[in-house]
Amino acid sequence: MSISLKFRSVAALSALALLTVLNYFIQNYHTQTVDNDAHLLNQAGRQRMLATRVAYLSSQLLLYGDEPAASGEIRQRLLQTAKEMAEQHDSLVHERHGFIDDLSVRHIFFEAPDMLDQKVHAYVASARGLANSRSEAPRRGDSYYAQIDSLETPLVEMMDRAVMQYELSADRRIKSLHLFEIAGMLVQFAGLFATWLMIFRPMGLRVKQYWGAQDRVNADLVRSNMALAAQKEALAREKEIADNLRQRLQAILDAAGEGITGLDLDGNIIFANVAATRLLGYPLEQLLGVNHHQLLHRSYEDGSAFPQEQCLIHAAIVEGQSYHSDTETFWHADGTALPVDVVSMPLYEHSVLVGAVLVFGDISRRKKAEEVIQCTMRELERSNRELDDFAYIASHDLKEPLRGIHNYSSFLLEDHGAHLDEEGRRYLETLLRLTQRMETLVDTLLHYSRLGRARLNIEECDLNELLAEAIDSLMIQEKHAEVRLTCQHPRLACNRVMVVELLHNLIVNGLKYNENTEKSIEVGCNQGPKEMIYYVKDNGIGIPEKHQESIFRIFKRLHGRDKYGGGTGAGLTIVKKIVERHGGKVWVESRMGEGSIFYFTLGNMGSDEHQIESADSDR
Amino acid sequence: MNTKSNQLILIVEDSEEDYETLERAFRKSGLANPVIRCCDGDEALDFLFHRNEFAHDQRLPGMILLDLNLPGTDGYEVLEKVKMDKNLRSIPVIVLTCSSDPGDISRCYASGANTYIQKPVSFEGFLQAIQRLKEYWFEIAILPR
Repeated sequence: MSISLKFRSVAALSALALLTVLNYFIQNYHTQTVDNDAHLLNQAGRQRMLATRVAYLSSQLLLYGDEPAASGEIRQRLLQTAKEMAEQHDSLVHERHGFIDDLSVRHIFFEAPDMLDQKVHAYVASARGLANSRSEAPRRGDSYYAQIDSLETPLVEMMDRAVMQYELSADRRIKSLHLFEIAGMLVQFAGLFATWLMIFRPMGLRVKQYWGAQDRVNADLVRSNMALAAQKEALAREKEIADNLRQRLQAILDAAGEGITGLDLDGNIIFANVAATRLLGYPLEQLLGVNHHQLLHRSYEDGSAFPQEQCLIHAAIVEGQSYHSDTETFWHADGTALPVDVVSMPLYEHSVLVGAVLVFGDISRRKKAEEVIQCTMRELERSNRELDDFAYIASHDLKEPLRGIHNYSSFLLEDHGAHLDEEGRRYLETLLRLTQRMETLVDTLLHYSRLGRARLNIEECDLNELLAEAIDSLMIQEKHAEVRLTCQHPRLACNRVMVVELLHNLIVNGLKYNENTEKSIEVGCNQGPKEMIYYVKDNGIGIPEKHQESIFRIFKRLHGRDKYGGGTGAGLTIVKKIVERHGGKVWVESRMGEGSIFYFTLGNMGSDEHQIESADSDR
Repeated sequence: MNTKSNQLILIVEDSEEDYETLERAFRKSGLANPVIRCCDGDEALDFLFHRNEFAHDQRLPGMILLDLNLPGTDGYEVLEKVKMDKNLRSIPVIVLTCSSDPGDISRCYASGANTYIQKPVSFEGFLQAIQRLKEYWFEIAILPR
């Protein structure tokens, strides 16, 4: 459709107008032709009538020739008729578009052997001659009359022939005109069709298209309206959600015990919660828009200047990194230092770094508490060391006079025993026994204090070997007992000497406090939740539940001094000390009359070098 | 006087030597009351509550001399058990121990101890303490019957 509708419609309308004009002319011509034919046929018919009338008048004149009045009138009418006939003939023959134009008629008039034209002229001449003849009563033999009489029938016949001929050609013309008309009609239809094709159809299509488009536009409009409404609703919902979120956020911010501030990339405060204003002592309006570092972080705790370029918080903000520290100091509005635990998280808007959120808490109390704890720890450490030292020194120094008492008692008994009676000697023997006992106690104390002071050398050991060593140091009568090991993982990292002593003490206890004829000890291990749990199980007398804690106290005995083989009451205290040196713990499960199980752990000495180091560095 | 000198004295003392010293001091100070000795807390409680080996011994002491440091059940527990029992709580309990720890002293008085005496290191001191004890408890003080 490259040619515009306007141009085509103009062209089509012009063509239609042209066709209409053309049709008009064709119709016009048609009407004129038919009109002309009718007129000529009428004239031709009239001519035939005039010819007949001439013949009739001629015969009348013959009849009424005797009567002058009648003959005169007849002559007059004859002349009149002849004149009319002649004029009419001229008009037929010479008139433009006349009768004679038809070739076959013309042939009849002028070319046939007895030309009608000549006959008419002769006839008219005869009529005139007859009418003008002087004879009062023309006779039948009159030449004019004879002429008329002889000419009348062929003339009429020829005229009929001519008229017929003309009618035929008029018919042909009409037929051809009909065809022409039909053709014109068809052309007009064609024109109309073309018009429809070129104007109305495209116009219709256009209209249809237009309305279709309009419909679509309308539909689109409806749809977009609906979409708009939905969008509006969604927006309202989003707004509600956003409002709720904002309120919730505000509530969270206000409820938070920690100070929360938002900073932009330059470090200026863009928002702060209630806790922040409370902790920092500044009202909100004095915080907003102010540089965080300059206001709150301008100097170190000792008061020396702290340039922003060195500030790790600021660096983290600029680089979009998170940052956590519990060693920063903010400055309160009243000029006091505020030790804080501060977390900085980068803040993004549409994936663009815009700043950071700082969350900080006042840790001055925590710091103080930590200081107190550290102080107490140091104090405890010191007093423990002093206690160990004291025990060590006291043991050494106590032993000296003790040895003196013992020695001098011996001398007295040896040198002057003979002078004493039974009771006197018994007193001296008791004195010696008591000094020995005192020495044992002091030695135990010394040993115990050494356990706390000695270097804890950790080595890889095999429980089998340790156990063998522990059994080796048993007294002869104790060796008859059954001691078995049931341990899947006998490898352990520990201080060899100490753990041998530990095992020895537990085994000895298991055998000493045992009234069974078949004394048995089982040493084993189980994998605990964190570490290996070792145990020494005996079938001894058991320990009442109320004493299961006090048995680990130094010099605490559950039985009389000489019952169950005696002893100082330090064995389990030493076990406990050894376990604690290894970072483990010891506990007991026991039922009276059934036996006891002593459990102990040794920490994770092998896997934790640091613990070994720190234990070593204690000394 | 007679009634008082007949009263049984319960001595709870695990140390042989200390018991011998105590006997000697009793003898020297003329304290001739009958004495029963228990070597540990459990034995003392058995005697006081007539249990186990003392089930048929219905005697009750007129006074208890109590050492704190005993094997097994210690003196504190014996003291608490005695002072919580309505039949026994009227019996004077004299704590006789080596400890001079203020915590031990207040703990004993809080539990209802009637007297707290630290064992003097020298026998002269010990004898003196026992003599004063005898004078006070058996000559001055009036005890329940």
